[in-house]
Amino acid sequence: MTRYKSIDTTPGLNRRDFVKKVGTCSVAAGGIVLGMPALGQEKPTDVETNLADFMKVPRTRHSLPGPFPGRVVQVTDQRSLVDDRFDGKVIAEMLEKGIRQLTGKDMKESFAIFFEPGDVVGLKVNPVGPPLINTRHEVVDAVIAWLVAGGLPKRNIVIWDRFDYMLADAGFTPGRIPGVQIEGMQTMDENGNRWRGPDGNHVSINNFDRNVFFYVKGVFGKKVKGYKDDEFYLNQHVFNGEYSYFGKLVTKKLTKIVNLAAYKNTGNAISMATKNLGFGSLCNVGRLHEPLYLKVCTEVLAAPVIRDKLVLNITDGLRGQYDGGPDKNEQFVYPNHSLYFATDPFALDMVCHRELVAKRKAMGIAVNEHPRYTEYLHYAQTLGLGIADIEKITHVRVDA
Amino acid sequence: MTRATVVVLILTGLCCAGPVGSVPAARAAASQPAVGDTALLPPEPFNGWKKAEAPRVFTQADLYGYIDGGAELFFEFGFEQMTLQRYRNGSGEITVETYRMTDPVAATGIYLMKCGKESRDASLRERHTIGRYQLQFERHRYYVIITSKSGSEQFKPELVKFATFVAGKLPADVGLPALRPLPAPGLVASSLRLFRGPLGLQSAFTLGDGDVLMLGAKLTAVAAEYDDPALGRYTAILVEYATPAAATQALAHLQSNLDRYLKPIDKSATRLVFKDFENKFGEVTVSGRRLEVKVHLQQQP
Repeated sequence: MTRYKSIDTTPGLNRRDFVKKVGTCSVAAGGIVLGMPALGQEKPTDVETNLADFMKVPRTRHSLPGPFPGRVVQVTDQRSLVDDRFDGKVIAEMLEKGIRQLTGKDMKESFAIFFEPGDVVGLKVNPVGPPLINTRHEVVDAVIAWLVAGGLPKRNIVIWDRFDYMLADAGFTPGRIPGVQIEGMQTMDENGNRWRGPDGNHVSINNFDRNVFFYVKGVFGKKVKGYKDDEFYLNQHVFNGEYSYFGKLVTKKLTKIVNLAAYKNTGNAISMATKNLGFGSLCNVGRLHEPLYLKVCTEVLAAPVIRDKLVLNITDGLRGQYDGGPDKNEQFVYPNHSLYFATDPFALDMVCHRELVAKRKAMGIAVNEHPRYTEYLHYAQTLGLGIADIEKITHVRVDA
Repeated sequence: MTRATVVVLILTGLCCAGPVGSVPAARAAASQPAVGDTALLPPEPFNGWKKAEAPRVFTQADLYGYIDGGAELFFEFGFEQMTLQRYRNGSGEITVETYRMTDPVAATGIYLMKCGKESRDASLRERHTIGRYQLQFERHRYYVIITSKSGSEQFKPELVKFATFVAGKLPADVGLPALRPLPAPGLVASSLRLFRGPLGLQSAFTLGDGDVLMLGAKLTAVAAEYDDPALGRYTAILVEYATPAAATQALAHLQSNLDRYLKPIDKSATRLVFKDFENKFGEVTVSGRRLEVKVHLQQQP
């Protein structure tokens, strides 16, 4: 029997409610943050980007934070993972409970909230860390089944990530998941001798859209730690310059995105919903880690190609990893038996961040709770992309 | 109980050993596949295991492509290259990752960040931790992870066999001569960490942006948790500089670049006291070449 723990199970807010909740939402179209900064709400760095251009583009009915700002549904079922075995049937049930609880509608009606039959839907998985902490196939299978049941042709579903070989490593192959498209935006050749095409350019160079980019002034790959020369940097990043181009998959092919992140840490922060897309939908991101850090997770999601297409986030917390991430580390992996649902990825990440901090403390890990590790979420709130103030977030827990 | 006295562990300029065996020091030219540390890997067949594919070699910034978001810590400690080899035996799959760091301290530093509470196998001499999925160990300037894809209990002994083989190919562990033991009462088990830059420091505490302690990627500092009846649980960070003047300069640099969420309460040329964002206290003192930081203090020192 389903048991509801939350004090508020009213599905979602409309956009007017959202504006009320955010209250002092204060970003002008030009991207200037107005008002007095409060704790954790300052723009994290002063690096110049093209955020203002993103903000000028009018929003659509699908723009972040979507129809349910600040609403996060967590479905927990102990049967989902028993003795290291995942139960696909139970996970499919969890998916249905989560979607229904998020939208307040049945699965068919929920489909209609997010998709049209002609959509091409990208499922952004996190393939880093198999076999322990990547997005589980059972979750992907359940989402595909829902989309197909809603009327979407299977061929209109694209499982994707930045790197083709990582998808293969994590078992996202046509043999395992037939009928859908599986697409890595770029090839990276670890042996370093096959990534250049006959023209001398990276073989993946045409997979990226030169007209749609995240610009960061004065930040180049040459400054990244470990940089050796362009040969090495370009292999992985395709371009080296002030522009990180979005994949054409995102800019031209996909009409909607479902974000299927894993549940894990990266240092004192988390590597979940916003990072899955913030670093996974464009190239030349190695240069961004140090100067911008988590700010990337906010500003990249402000780009209309993400902001207006990302309709649903499901964080796969069947397993969690509370330390040692983002790569797998068995020492810190634990069964968490939960899936998390939200249209608002920033509220979702805030809930998961707090949960993971609590887990770290419970496990005796020294926790640095400096505000910088959630500033990017508050920053997103000032941009009107989501809700980060915990008292404004509705966290609905559903236990089986 | 008096405040814990902590022996400073400072590691300066530990020389790096040369490449192991026939391992190339640098990546092969673009027209040649990189060889990496394949000489360390078990040949096939190895107890029935066969190589599933060619080895992969991640050199320098290539590591971002393998652990995007996790590579920076390796670079901060000093990373040269990682060689990955996948083996199969029936339905079983084991992956060996050998991370060649610049020096043994770097390998230890990474290991301490990754190992958590160690679980040992009596047959393996190297410092390690083992589970059903992964065995991690460090030896000389290598940090090695061996992963079983299935996590099946039956493959756990195989992880040890792979580790034993790889360890046998590595030079003898030099130990960490500059790392003296931490005799202080109250030291929390498994809390010891080393760091050489901002990322490592952030795992303990945020004192400011950038290289706020002026480690210059050359000094290795140590951090550990302590339980003290009077002070509660706090974190100690210790750095020993080349000269007393350098230590004093580092404190001055810290005072000038103190994180905006830390509010100074008292400061002098040899001491800084601040209140943090959780209304706890921190104290930084300089004594000779030693700079000592204590944070998460429940009471103002």
